[in-house]
Amino acid sequence: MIPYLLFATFFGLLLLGIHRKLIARIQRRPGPPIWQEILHTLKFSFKSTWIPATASEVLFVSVVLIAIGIWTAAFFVLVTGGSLLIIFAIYMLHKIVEHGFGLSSGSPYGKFGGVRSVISAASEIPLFVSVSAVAIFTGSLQISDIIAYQAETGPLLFTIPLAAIALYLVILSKVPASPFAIVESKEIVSGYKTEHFGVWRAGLETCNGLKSYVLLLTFITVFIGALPFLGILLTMLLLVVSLAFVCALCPMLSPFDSVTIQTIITGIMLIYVLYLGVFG
Amino acid sequence: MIGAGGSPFMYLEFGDIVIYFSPYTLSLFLLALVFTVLVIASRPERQLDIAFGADAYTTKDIGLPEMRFRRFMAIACGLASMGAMVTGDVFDFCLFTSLVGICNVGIVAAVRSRHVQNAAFQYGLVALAGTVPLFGGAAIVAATTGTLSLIELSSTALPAVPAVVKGFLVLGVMGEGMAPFYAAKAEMFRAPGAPYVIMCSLSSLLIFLRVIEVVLQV
Amino acid sequence: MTGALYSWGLLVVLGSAVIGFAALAIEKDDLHRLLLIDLVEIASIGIIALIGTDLAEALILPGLVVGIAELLALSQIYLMKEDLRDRTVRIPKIEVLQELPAPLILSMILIVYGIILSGFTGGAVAGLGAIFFIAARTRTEDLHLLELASGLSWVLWIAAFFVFMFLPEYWYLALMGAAVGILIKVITKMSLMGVMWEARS
Repeated sequence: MIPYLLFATFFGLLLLGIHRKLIARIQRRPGPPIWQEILHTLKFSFKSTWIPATASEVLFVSVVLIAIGIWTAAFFVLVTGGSLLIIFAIYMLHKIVEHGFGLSSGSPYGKFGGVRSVISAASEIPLFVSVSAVAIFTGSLQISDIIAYQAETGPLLFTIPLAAIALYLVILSKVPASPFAIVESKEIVSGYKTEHFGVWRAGLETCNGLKSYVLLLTFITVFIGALPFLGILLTMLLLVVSLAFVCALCPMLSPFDSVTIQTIITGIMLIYVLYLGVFG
Repeated sequence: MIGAGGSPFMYLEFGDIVIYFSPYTLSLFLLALVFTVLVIASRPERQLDIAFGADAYTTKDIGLPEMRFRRFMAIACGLASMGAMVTGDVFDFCLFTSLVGICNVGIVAAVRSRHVQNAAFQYGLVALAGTVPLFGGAAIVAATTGTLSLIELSSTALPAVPAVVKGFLVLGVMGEGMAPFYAAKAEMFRAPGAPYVIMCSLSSLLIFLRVIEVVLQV
Repeated sequence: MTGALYSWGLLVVLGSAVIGFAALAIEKDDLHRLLLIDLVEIASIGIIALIGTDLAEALILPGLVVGIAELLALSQIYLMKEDLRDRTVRIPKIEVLQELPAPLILSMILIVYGIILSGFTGGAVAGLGAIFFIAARTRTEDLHLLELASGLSWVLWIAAFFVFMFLPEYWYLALMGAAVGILIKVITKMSLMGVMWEARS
C-alpha cells in the first residue's frame, strides 16, 4: 500500500504538471516541463526553513501534517472500498485546513485566502448532491457496493449524468488556475499558502498531488466503476486534459461572482436530487 | 440506511446511552481531538496590519485575559464537538450542538470591538432560534418512534421518521453552525484569530457532517 | 385518541413558534428581539413536553438549561455591546429582616425542611432559607467556602451517576450521593446568586 501511496502522490504531481503545461500551450505560451511540480516539491524539501515571527507556531507546522494526514486517510478509504461519506467529510475538512494555513501565519494575504475559503462554502454542496444521488441509486454508500452495482448495470455516468457533472465541478473548483480558484488567486499573492515556504511548502505540494489523485480516482470509481490500472491512469489523463481546457479558456471569477455561480449550481443540483428522490 | 458511515466497530455503554464508533464518526472525532490539542498547545498568531497610506506594518498583540477566555471557549467548543461526533443519542447530539453554538458565540464575543460584538449578538440570536427546530426535531423523533438511540433508529422495525423532522434537524444544525460566516464578516480582519477562530469553523463543519449521518440513519 | 391529541398539540405549538418567528422578523430593536427569542424558545420546550412521558420530563431540564445559558450569554454580550452598567444592589429594608432572631429561626425551619425533602426540591427550599439568612446579615462574609461546597457537591453528583452506570449494584449509595449532592448544590447556587451580584457591584 505504501508504494501505491507514493506512486499516487507523484502521479498526482505529474498530472498537475501536465495540467499546467496544457494551459500554457492552449494560451500559446511555452510553459514549464510537465515534471515541474515534482521538481518543485523536491526543491522545496531542501530549502532553508523557519517559522515566521507573526505565526502561531504549533498550528503553522501541524496544519501541514494534518493536510497530508487527511488525504492519506481519504486515499486508504477509497482504495479499501470504505464509505463514500468519509471522502465527502475529508473533502469538506480540507476547507478547515486551508483556513488553518491562512490564519496561522498572521499575514493579511494568507488571512484573505482563508476567509475566501470559508465564504465559498457553497462549492462543497454539489459533492453532497452527487453523493446522495449515488446513494439513491445504489442503496449504499460503501464504495465496494457502488463498484459492484456498476459492474452489474453499467457506469453511473450514463444513469445520473448531472451528478457526475456536479462532482466534476467540485474537482474543477480545486485545481490550480480554475475559474473558481479564488482562495489562491494572484491579487492576494498566493492566498492561504503565501507564508508557507521551504519544507512546509513541500508538504503542501505533496498534499496537493495526493489530493488531485484521490479526487480523480473518486470520480472514476464512483461514476465509471472498476477499470484496469492503466485504464484508470488514462482516464485521469483525459479528465485532466478537459480540466485544462476549461481552466485555460475561462477567466478567473471575482470572489463575489464565484460564490454566486457556485450557489446557483448548488441550487440546481439540490432541485435535481429532490427530483431524483421523488420520481427516480 | 444502516451504517451510512461504515459499520460500527466499538460500543461504549453508559446505561441505556450507547456511544458507538464507526469509521466515519471515529475520523471526525479524531479531527476534533487533534484540533482541540492544537488549541491547547499553540499560542495565538500576532496579526500583521498594513497601515494604509504609509509604508508601515503594525502587529496586534492579544491581551492575556482575552486570550485565556477565548482559549477556554475554544477548548470547550472542541470538547462539545467531540461529544457531538460520537454520541449515539439524538437528544444528546442536539445538546452538544447547541453547546457548540454557545461556545462559538463565546469565541467571537470576547473581542472588545463593537462590530465584532454586534456580529456575535446577531449570530447568537440565530443560534438560539436554531434550538427550536433542533430540539423540536429530536422530540418528534422520540414521539413517533419511542426511542432516541441512533442504533435502534437505524433498524427497520421502527416506524419511519417523517421527512419534515429530518429537515428540522438539518435546519437546527444550520442555525447553530452559522458562526464561520459571522466570523468572516467581522472577526477575521479585526482580531487575531488563529487558532481559536478555526475552532469556530471546524466545529460547525463537524456538526454539519455528523447531522448528515444522523439524518441518514433515523 | 392520544395520537390525534398529540398532532393537535404539535400544530398549536408549531403555530405559536411561527408567530414568534414572525414577530422576530418584524422587530428591529435588539433588546426586544432578545425577549422575543426567549418566547420562541418556550415553543421548543413545548414540543418536548408534548411527548408526555417520564422521558419528556428528563429531556426538558437540559433543554431549558441550554436555552437559559444561551440567553445569559447573549444578555451579557448585549450589556457589553451597548456599554450598559449594572445597577448597585441594595438590601431591601424590611422590618422582619432587621430583627436578628426572626430570620434565623425562619431560615432554620426552611433548611431543616429542605434537608428532609432532599433532592432538587429540597435544595430549592433550603436555598430559600439560606437566602433569607444572608439577606438579614449585617456584615459580608468570605464566600469562597460556599463556592467550594457548590463545586464539591457537583462532583459528588456526577460521581454518583458514574456509580449508577458502572456499578449498578450499589444503586442505593449512588441515589443517596446524588440526592445529597444536588441538595447542597442547589442550596449554595441559590444563596450565591444574589450575594455574588451584590459583592461585584
